Amino acid sequence: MNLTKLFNFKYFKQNLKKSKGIVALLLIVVPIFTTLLTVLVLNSGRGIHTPSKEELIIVNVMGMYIIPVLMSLVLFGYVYKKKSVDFINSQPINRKTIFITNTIGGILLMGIIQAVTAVSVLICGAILPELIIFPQMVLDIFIMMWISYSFTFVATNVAMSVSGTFSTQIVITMLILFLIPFCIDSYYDFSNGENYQLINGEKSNNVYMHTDSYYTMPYEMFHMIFSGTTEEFNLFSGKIISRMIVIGLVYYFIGLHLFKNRKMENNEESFSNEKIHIIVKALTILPMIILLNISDLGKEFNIIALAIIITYYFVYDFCVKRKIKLKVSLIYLVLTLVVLQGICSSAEKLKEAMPMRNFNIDNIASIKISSINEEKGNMHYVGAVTSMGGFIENEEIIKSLIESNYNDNNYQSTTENSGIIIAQDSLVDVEYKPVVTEKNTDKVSYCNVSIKTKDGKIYCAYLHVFQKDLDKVLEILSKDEKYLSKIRNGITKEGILSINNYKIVDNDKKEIIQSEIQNSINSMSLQDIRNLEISEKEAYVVSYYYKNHKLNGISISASVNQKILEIVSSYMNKEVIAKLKEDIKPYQLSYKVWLKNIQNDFIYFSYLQNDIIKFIKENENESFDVSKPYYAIEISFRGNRLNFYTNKVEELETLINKEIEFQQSDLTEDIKYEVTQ
Amino acid sequence: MIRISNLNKTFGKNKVLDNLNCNIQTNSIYGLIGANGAGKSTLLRIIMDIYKRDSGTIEIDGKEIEDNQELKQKLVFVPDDLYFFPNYSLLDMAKFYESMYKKFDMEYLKELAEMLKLDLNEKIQNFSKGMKRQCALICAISTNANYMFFDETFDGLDPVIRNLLKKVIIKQMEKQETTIIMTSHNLRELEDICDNLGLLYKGGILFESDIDSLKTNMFKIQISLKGEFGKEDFSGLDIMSYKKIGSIATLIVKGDKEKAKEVLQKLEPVILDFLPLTLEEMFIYEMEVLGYEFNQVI
Repeated sequence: MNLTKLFNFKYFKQNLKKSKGIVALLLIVVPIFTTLLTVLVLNSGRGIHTPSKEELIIVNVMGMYIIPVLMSLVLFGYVYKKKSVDFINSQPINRKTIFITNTIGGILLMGIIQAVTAVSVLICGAILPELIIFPQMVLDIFIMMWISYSFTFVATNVAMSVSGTFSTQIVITMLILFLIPFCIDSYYDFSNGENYQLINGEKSNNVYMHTDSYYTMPYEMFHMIFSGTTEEFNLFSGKIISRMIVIGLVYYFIGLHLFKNRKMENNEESFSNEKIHIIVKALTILPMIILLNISDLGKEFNIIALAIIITYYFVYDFCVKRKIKLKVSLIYLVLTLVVLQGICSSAEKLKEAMPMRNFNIDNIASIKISSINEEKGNMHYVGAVTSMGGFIENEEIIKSLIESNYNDNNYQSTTENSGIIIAQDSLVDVEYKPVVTEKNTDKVSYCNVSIKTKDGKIYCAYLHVFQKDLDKVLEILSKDEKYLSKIRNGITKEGILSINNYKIVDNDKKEIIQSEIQNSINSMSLQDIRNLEISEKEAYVVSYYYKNHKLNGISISASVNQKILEIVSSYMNKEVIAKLKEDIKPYQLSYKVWLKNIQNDFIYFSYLQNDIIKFIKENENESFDVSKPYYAIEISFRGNRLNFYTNKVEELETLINKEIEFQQSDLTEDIKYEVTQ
Repeated sequence: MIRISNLNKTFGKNKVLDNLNCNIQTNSIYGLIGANGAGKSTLLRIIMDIYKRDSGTIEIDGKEIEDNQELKQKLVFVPDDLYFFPNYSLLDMAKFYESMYKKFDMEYLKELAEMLKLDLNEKIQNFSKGMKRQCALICAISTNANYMFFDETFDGLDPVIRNLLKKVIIKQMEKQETTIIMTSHNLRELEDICDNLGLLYKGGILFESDIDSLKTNMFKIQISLKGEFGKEDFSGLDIMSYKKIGSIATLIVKGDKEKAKEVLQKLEPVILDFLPLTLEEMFIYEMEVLGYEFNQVI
């Protein structure tokens, strides 16, 4: 087959040339704003920072709804003007070639946008010392966003093939992108959604189970933004990608067929039939009505939403029909709202009347603990290590987790609908405080679990598990070498290292520390790994890595391993000396000395700051021996912490005692002053 | 050759082309006339595969035009409502045509532009309406397409440029085998250039003829005979129209002029004059024969 028959490069080049200004703007707007976001927002005095995918794609997500539509207008916009239709369609190029050329070309342009964005983000990561950006993560974003942009582009081309004006195209694009998945989702929720009951012997409990029903990126993002959900969902989801590719291909062939048979005389006017306008308007406001029915956002939100619907109704008339008949529009609006609300209310009643579906504990084949949300000092802590072990088939563990949840009576009685609430499968560790219930003072952990049933379906749920039950589960798992090895293999020693927010660029040191972290992890039990505490007393090392399309990090105190402490102390001491040689006034720094052998206890030096500086400078060439008793002097400067390690325990203790004396005498003076007052 | 059979096209409830049949000979200029809304532009757009037909076939050189990219290399269309890319100069437009048409002759275009005094680098949007039409025409001619379709071709052109462009078109036909369809609602615009004329009415070709035979086979006679006479006295002639005012009769006769002369001389006429007919008059009489009022048709 002659490829030039399908893709006419000369035509594509000319098509771009005629709108070179807009094309250039569309190509650069996302990279520029993403770069600005990265430089100005993500890099603004936050110390060492690993931006998440969600942060890096903010501009890209906004562009996803605009750029493909505008690109479609640039490439196919001629169909909306009779003059240009005559001109382009009289050229020696058939409609099939025009469609294929513009579609493939458009997809390539989307790729260029994403490639430029990716390169600019990588450059930011390389130039800005505080940012840690993983090339693999950027590649994931590149792939995901390219496919998403292309999907939106192909969908909007379907809309173009049946539209007579650009505003009609936008309306139909909205219907394709949002209404179709919304209806599928609603149907899915309707048939599989809430009415589940988890049966455990004689006990039963209503359970809201959420199945993994991701549709496409434009819809999921809109859904996330609109519903205000904070649920995490993995941006690099194979399911979303494959769905977008398959549905995108379907849309492509539908678009091609429609374009080939498009009535080119239908331009410069929208739908000829008033009935079609009413149906389209009703369809576009249907998702809003459904969301209003299912959301609990209060009356204010309902009023705002109603105002949006009314505004939209008239904006539609103005933009699409180019005329507003106030009286007629109002009548139709009221009728539409009544009909749609009637449908929604009927559906809701029908749903309530649906029989409860039993979800028996015996049907659970395996369970995966995705994350256990306990208090952790550092949000980059590997946290959800348990998920790395994968699905657990051990019945004892399954029962322990489920039954513990049932025993949390307090939670069940205070929660309106269910004892288990919705959750998404996620590795990202969010800081949740443990719940201390009124009836039971035992510590409760929120366990984010994925439940695989015997028929192969996977559900997600939050379980409230008492600490003692969780400990029991972890103890069993700690003895499971297969499970442990999966976790250990899950923690990679590749990655980017930082010590107290300072990126380590020395490859030799990096390699040693990474190896030692790996060795330490390998020698730890599951409990040890989970209980890795970051002592504020010590410098801490964070190993950031990107694995399985997810950003992870493991933080450990330098003192976990002597070799690590050796490297860290030598590095830190040099940094402290270098910092003191800078033109910084003593008052700009804050000094605290971590007291030996007393966990998290320290003294601030507010009187003898100069003595401390003198002490450090005098001992700058002293070697530090990790095996001997030591003190760590912490110097803080604009949020960054540096530790100076010293074995000169006696000398420093003299200074500490002096500082304490000053502070106490000052305190006595204050008391005397207060008494006399 | 262009062969159009049973062509139908409807816009909504309005049937624009109704079972249209037409054959256009190669290397000729076919003038398509008809009133506004008769379907002339629609016919050209369907031939160019811009609009989809409802039914019927269109064959050019024996090949179906629909979705035929190779065949479209031989076709060029200048619509009545011209379109140029925004901010494009004539040279930019020519480059566009050059990228689309394999036989595009850039040198010839420059030559024509120079002849018409069109600035190649000036933005077309700054040109007058007539200059824009000149641009479109010379771009189309430079494609060296074998079939050219001009809709309301000379609309907005002054007589000098009109004649100049007619010469260019004829020169093009001499250069290579070219078939041209021109539409107009003004018969006088086409009469001095077309070989054939077709009259489009109510979605079909009402009447078509080649102009040469029309001009040689139809003539006006003014005659007066001794004494009383009537139409029946001219029974040997194919009379299309007969009018008698006083003693002078005016006849529109179809057929061989010499033979008609012979027949009339035998009647020993007092006055016998053979007068030329304009194309418009010829059409009027042809329409009358078919039972139409010409003024209603065009």
